Amino acid sequence: MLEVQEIDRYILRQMPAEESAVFQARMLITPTLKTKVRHQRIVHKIVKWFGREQQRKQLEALYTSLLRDEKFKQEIEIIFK
Amino acid sequence: MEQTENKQLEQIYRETFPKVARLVKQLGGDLSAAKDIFHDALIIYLEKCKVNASHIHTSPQSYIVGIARILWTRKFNDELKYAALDDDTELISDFYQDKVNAKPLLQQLRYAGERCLQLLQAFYYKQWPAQKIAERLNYGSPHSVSVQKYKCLEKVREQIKQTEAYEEYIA
Repeated sequence: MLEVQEIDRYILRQMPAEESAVFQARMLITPTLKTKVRHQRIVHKIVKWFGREQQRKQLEALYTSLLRDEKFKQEIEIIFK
Repeated sequence: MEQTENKQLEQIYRETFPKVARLVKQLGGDLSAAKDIFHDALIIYLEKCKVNASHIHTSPQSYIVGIARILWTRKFNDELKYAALDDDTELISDFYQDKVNAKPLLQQLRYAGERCLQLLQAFYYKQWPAQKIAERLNYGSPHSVSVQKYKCLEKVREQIKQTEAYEEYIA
């Protein structure tokens, strides 16, 4: 778990410059560490995608709910008449 | 707290969507296109608020309409070099990469670890404190959230290793 945590601190730029430089050097001589870092970066991308997808669903629900408000609905309909 | 956030979001939606709708109409789009562009711009705004709210120097409405204009232009001209708002170029590029490439991998991983993705999303995307995550997602304590978060990172990372073939989608 410590390694996952350490990689996270590196990816999220939470390491001081010196520690980060040492970490980069370790990646150079340890290909498995480099691969883990690459994969963990992908995890963060996926989490972001997942977050955005959830957010889109929430906004779709909000849109549907706001259209039940006649005043809002008319305001939008007039624009596209 | 969350109710307040929802109310604020609803207010921003009410005030800003008509403005974006008028813009998209002027540019030749329909209601459906206006809604999609508006949702994308709103998501970019919400992400920006979490990461760097102090870099937004205008009202939420002006910011979102500005982003919507860029997204619309970009939609029809990928090669266009535009002057983005401050440092948002990377955010917008990243957003488009997301839309094009994410789904196959996401679908693959969803089968394997929905609960883990929810936890990671709450922590990294929503940036909720551990206490709130523990309450909402039924973990025993903030400490167990922290422990589980790293276990989940490792678990999903392991799944990615085993689905290397999918990496072409996100390289």
